[in-house]
Amino acid sequence: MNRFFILLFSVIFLLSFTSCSNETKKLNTNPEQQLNQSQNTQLKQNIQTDLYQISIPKEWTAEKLDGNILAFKKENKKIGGLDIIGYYPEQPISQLEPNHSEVIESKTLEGFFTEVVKEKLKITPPAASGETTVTEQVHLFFIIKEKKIAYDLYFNTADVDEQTALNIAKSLKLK
Amino acid sequence: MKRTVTFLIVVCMLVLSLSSAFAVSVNDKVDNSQTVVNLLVDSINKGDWKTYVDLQANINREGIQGFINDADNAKNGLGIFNVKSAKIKEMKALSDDVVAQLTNLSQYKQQYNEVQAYLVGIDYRVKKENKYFFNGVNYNLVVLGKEADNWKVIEMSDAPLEILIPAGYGFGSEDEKEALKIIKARINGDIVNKEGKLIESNKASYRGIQIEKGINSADIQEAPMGVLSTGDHVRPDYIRVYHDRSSSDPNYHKTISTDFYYYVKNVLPNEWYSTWPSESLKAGAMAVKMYGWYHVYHLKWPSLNADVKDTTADQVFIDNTEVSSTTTAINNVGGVGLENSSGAVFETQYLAGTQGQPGTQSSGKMSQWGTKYWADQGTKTYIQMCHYYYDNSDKSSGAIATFSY
Repeated sequence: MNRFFILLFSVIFLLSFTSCSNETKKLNTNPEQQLNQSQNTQLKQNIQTDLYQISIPKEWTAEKLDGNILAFKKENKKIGGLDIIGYYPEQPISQLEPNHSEVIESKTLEGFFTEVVKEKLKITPPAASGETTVTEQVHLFFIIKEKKIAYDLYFNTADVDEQTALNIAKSLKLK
Repeated sequence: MKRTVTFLIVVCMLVLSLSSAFAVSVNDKVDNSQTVVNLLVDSINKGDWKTYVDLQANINREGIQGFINDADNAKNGLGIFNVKSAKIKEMKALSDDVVAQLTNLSQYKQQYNEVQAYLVGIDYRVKKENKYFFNGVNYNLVVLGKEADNWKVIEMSDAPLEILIPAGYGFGSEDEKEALKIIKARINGDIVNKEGKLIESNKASYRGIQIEKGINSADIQEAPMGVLSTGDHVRPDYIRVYHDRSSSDPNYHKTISTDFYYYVKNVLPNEWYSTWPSESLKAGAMAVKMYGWYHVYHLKWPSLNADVKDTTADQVFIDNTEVSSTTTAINNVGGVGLENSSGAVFETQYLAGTQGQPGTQSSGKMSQWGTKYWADQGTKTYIQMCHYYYDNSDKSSGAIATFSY
């Protein structure tokens, strides 16, 4: 009987010890490690701003604009860019979409340093412009809740394929 | 049996010693992190910017160092350089469940081993009172995280007293009550100081609103006594527009404060065909006005210090392009605002749509061609058109409503 009690208490003690150690155990979910594994070697041009760094293909140019905003160009044609947008947690995700846009596809991406929402958008000029050209863009919204901003990395889908867009997104690092 | 009792005593002693160790650890956490808050405010008071930067978490350090190194910021007394003296008046640790309602605690907890937040009343004397600092006790939320065994500042922001006090988390002090009055005035568009003196305002005058309604300037009477609009229902006086549309624009790549009525008048004809029927133009006038209005209260381009851009990213704005038919539409809806089913001003987004089609109901985005479609049909007023696109959408969980301003 005594042995039974000793055994029972030992088991309880060991179990409680195990559960305590679980609380402090850190899971190895470092997104940088995951991202480095899929780093695209084609992105040889590193762009530095005051707030972030990002890598793009060497044949592109990145025009640095006011407010740490970038415009990506290929053969002098604008093909995408990076904007910084105000983000308000109580507002819907459409707050990040440009006006005049329609959502074709939207999903949340995993494995980034912050919450990232990828949206494919159809953008039309104002009715009053008389133009009917439709531009399709992919936007990757990096949401930084505590700073109430989102980094909007976007590309024209006619000029930039999805994998390149994702690889560029994976290279974005905040300072 | 004796052995069992001995074993039980050993287990109890172990449990007791472990719990007391935890108690010490919690107290240490508060004591040590509190010291960092004291050091932080002391560094601001002394202008000891090296210590101020050293106390920042890695994620903020470089940006803050850059700001400190910029001689123009110091010369112009911007940001923290505006402070002449700073002293802690009152401070209290906030529990995690409170902090989770105020900031992104879960993300901080993923990044830092330990996180501790404080509500801190800091008595500032400043060179020039503005929307960031006033003379007297200002309340900050200071969040600290443990980085390599050292407490570092990960956030220092205005404390939302308007949330904390009603929820019972304030100090109950007179200083706090005064600060709350200042915050409430700020929510209503007025930047005031402790004495109630107006420092800055973005509130349209009664006269400005009458002009927006199309009333002849000479016919405008004295402002009547009545209930004034509050919060985001206060019609802004101006909007900050970043000019990004054309390099031939003399204000290209500049942010310009623009009279709100002038802004709406010079957007609508660039978005809606001025020859379209009046109900379509009135629906457009509501969407254009409320889109700009919303962004005055929800700054869209923080790094440009601009509420909106003059491009299709927001609304196309071109100086001196107003047209009488679109201005008449704006006048006809003057004094009428739109709110969502929660009573808040919302982002009235829109898109071109397709000619001859109404566009998608409850999409949260008005179709420009859709308003033409409805006006041609003669079956919907401009308000009904707004209901069609914005009711039960991501902008409004129920029916939208109008309000007067």
